[in-house]
Amino acid sequence: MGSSQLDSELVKRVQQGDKSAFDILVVKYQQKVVNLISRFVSDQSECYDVAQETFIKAYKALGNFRGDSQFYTWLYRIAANTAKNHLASRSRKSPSYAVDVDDAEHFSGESGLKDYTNPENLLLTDEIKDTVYRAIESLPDDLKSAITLREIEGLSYEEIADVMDCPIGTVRSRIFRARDAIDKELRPLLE
Amino acid sequence: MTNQNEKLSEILDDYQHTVEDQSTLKSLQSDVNQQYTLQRYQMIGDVMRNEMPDSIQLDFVAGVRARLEQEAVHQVKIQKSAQTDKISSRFWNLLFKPAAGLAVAAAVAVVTITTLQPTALQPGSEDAIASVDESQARVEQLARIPVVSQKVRVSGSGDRQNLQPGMNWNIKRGAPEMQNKLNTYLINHNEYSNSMHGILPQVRVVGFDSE
Repeated sequence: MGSSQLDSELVKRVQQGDKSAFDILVVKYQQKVVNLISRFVSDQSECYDVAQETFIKAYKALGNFRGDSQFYTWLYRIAANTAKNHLASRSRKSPSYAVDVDDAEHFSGESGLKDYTNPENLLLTDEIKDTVYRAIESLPDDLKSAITLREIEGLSYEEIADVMDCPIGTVRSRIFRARDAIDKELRPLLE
Repeated sequence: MTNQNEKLSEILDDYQHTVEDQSTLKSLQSDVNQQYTLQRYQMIGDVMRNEMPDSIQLDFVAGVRARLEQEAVHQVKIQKSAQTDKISSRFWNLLFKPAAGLAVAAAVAVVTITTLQPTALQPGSEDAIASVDESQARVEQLARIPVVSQKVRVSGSGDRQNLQPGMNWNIKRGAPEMQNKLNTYLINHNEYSNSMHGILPQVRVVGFDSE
């Protein structure tokens, strides 16, 4: 099952009413969506709100998703439109956060705007990046090459096997071992 | 656990594989720790590709989940209120609509009675009722008199005054056409007066001559 196959399977499950399958899609695409939105919206804390809105819209529209395009291209389209709409509505609204009278009853400040650009978060993000880079540097060459060809070059297991002149099983194992080694360094930061 | 993580690594990498993926997916959905592992694996790739935002939000998934649940509750509330509206409108249809119809009908009846009564009981109306009774008696009397065929010209007031009870209304001039015309008119009037209330059943010919 590939990534697109995994997406299709998860989408199918969500369409059948399995909400937890949507969590996996959010886990998979959250950073990519936030990254895309940050090209439209400069304020990082707003990026996360727009990203949240994107996933809510995607969840609501998922019933109509027929799989004519890849899930992620469909999701990116929603993200781009939501970001553009956000910019348009921000230019119309006053700078303060407005809550409609009808929605006030159902409004919870906890899931609303938060300041994610606080120093702790910025520091944590920097630490994560440093840790990953350091962990990659400390990997044996064969693992480092395998994970780099996969993540940066985007090669498939078969292509990596050709490049590294080794069986696919070995590629699979090397990529996993590389991830596992980096993850061992990363986990303490996030727990 | 290592085996499970290896599977996670594979499905993340677009690697065509086995039926085991279904069980991997199932355990991934139910196991939060595996979801965190997947998130970290994803994060490693994002950092390597320089796709990591400047500031990350670790509880993003939980936030989306909470929003969805909140919206689901909101949706249920909307559906419930819509259902209540539906029930009350059904109640309205069943009970109030016929009652309102009856009230309107009663009001129309009252208006009809109150507006028609004054015209029937205007000053001198007793005389009118008496004259109706008289004419009724006269009609009965006339019915007993044998019919005598006599041609009368219906063209002026003087002629009308000469009319005697029991005289036949024959048309002197242009006889066939006029007769047909008058007959058609009488038949039409008779049919129309039967179907419509408030129209006198008898005909009064004021003038018929085409001079």
